[in-house]
Amino acid sequence: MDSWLIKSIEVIFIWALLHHLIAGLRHLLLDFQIGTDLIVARLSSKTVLIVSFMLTALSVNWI
Amino acid sequence: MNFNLLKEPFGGMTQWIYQRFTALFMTIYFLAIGILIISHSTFDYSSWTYLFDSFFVKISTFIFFCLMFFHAWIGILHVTEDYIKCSSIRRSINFCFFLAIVFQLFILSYYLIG
Repeated sequence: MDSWLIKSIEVIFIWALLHHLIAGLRHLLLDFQIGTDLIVARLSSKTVLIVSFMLTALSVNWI
Repeated sequence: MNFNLLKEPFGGMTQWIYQRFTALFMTIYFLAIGILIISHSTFDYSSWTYLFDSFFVKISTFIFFCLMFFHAWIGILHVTEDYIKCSSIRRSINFCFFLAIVFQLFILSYYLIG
């Protein structure tokens, strides 16, 4: 698993999974009417993008 | 919330509820397995086999993948319904995804049981 190609494919899949997970948690909160104000919703959507990238970056170290 | 909408076995509201409950279980499973793996400083092949020898882990992994396939199936139905207008093409694509899911269920059972 040392090949950079395999590693980058792994990173893409891990990012997809983490992004889907965190965005899904945001949607669950929205379903409970939490953070439905426009400003809060926009902020949380940007937070999801940033947090998923940060967690992916952490997982690169772990792979 | 209008609970009468849940009487339809595979109606929109029922699908919505399924999507949320499968997501909830999968989140719990993902966090549990993730914490188990991260909390061990050295996680090698023997740790994997030790973890997956447990019946509880096996059965929850099986449930996880079944729910994941169901979650993905509902998601695929929604995406194709939104973007593919021709119903015959849409149904063929849905059928391909269905076959892929059944195939993966067989592979999963082979690895967990066999």
